[in-house]
Amino acid sequence: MSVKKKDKIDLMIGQLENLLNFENETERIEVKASFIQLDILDEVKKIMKEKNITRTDLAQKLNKSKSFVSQLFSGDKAINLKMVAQFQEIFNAKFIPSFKDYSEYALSKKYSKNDYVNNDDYVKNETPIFRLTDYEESKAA
Amino acid sequence: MQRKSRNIPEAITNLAAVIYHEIKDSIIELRVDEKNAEEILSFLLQKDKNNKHIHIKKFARILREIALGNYDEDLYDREPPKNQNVTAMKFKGKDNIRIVCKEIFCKNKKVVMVALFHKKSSRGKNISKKDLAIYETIGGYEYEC
Repeated sequence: MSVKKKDKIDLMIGQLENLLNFENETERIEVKASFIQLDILDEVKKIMKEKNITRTDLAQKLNKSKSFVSQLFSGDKAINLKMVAQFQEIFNAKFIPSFKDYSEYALSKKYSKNDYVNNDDYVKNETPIFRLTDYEESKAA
Repeated sequence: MQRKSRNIPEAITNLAAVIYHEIKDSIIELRVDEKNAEEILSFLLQKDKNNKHIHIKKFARILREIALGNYDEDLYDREPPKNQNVTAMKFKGKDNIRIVCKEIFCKNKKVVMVALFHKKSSRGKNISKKDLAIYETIGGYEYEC
């Protein structure tokens, strides 16, 4: 590979890394908002699996298309509180958000290094930021 | 087939800092295939007519999935054939772009090797012979830790 091409790639890698800093506050907040959405939808996926609800079922119950649901799960469409309320109805479960200190969720603390020694031994050990808990469980708490 | 790669050292840590405000020692590393780097990076850095980066937010969401060890049909998933550790970053939409990756496991790190820019030829969950052939090729790539 020529030096010129290597320099160009280095420059592009640098640009990409800088962009991922999201130094512009508006963009940073937008990205954080989309991550909160994915946190919520991770919980939605879990409860869908537990209750054996397909995406087609979910789309029907939300009165949306399957493509809309797909865009929701990839963060291309934004979730709103009305939808969270609909999730509660669909899953018969209470949505319980809570604030936790960032230090509890630092990536370095979320996994042990052994988790990635090889693919087969990979074990995920994370604490969800948002949980959808059954109503009975929340009442007991 | 032995391939060379370039490290993108700050990608995951920068993003993790955005998510968590703190990152010390990431155990996931992102690298890009040297031969295909220019095409892949050009796509990720693509701008619209208003000079805004088109794909960077989606890329950030994909990196979030990678950082959390998630695999899902929406953003980042394992691809066939099994046991070759081939994955794809998904940029669904009109062009249905995939950035095909290979995960390798080096001592204490999982390395996500960003290997190839690809326009998926099949829609939905179906995989065409052409797509499968590409995934098999990437599965055969060998990278040094």
